[in-house]
Amino acid sequence: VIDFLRGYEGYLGDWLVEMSVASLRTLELMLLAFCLACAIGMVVALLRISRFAPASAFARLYIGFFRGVPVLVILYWIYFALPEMGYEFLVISSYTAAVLGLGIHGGAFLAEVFRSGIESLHRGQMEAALSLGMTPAKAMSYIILPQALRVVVPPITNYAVGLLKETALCSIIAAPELMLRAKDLASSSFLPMHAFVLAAVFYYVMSFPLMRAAEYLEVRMGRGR
Amino acid sequence: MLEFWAKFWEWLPEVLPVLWAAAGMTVRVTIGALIVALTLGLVVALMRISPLRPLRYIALLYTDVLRGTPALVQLFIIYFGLSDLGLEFDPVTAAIVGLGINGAAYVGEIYRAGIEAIHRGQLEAALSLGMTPMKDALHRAAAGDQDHAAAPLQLRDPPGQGHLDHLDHRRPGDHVRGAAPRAGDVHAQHQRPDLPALRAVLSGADAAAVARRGPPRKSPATLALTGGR
Repeated sequence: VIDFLRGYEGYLGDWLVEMSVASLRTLELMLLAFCLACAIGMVVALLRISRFAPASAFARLYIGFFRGVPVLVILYWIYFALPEMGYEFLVISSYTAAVLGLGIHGGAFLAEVFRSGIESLHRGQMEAALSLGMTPAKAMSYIILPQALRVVVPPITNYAVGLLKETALCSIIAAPELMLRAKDLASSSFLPMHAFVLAAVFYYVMSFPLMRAAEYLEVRMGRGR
Repeated sequence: MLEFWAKFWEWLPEVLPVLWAAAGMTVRVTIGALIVALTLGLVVALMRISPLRPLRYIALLYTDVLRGTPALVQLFIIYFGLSDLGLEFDPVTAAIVGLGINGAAYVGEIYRAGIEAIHRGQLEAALSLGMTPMKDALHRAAAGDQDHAAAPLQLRDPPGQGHLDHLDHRRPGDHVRGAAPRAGDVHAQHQRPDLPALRAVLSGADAAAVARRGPPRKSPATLALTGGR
């Protein structure tokens, strides 16, 4: 172990700085993808429970498809395959592709989370809201969604932890983030073990608070039910 | 666009056999990793609930670290990192081992939740019948019933399948109704503490099921395959 730690000598200072900067990019990437996934997820969830058959069929297809395909494949499509279609606007940076890919994939996942959250509520809630004269849209946004939020927060936090780890895959399409930096450092120093272990430490430091938050929220949100 | 599809159809017969062969490898790696994860996961779970504190801490550290870092990083450490230290794997072995030890962290939590979902009374009853904790009680009360608990708990044990049926505290017909535990129901009490652990490993998609009746509908294998998400 001592020998191993000695290997960091002369590198650690530089590496810490470089990896910290890259970690910020990872966090940024995760945050953007998370927002996109939430937005897509909400829309798809509402489509999914819609009584308009084509809408729910589309949502079902979307969810089934993107949950059944690995994120890596989606990233490859967006980054390598789509530009082959020959349209100029489809040529995007790897960072944008990473955000889109994770967002699209996460959207399918969160759609199911949101849907199950909404459906976990008693039907009577909706009926009561409607019988008070609320429009379905109002009933949804004032009665159903706020209550569903409580059910949905713990799995969303868990999703965020998973997303943070999934961002590592984006290094494969060369999106500038922590894992890519670690690869660079590993190949320039010929110390892959040291570089990747340090990267693992960085990932752990980022995911630890999220994991603890997820645990706390599960207890907190589970109260009174 | 048209050009793209023309090229695509031209290529398809060429690449299809290659992809087919590669898909076989995917299945092999999945099964291999699953076997590693399911076995190692059991060890981790038993360490997690061991009365020996050091063992518990090691297992906790294992689960926490493996779940807190990306699988990709773990694979890189095993494949590139270890070869740097003189321990070389071929890529497939590295993948199976890497995904296996990663999965063991998740599977271990599932097992643990399953074991802890069993009422303490089961163990106490087994011990009071003169079983030793290790060989008999753990084996029968935990490992046996756990299959039912970790898998669809709402189905309960079908009567006649539990190893300790004569000690069964469940109401007859529970497994048929499969209903949410009622207040005061012994299930409600012993299921509650496991919810966080189960939810943590559960795909959030089952939030409703969890919210309504606690444990998930998914089997441990499904959970392991989806990486706990």
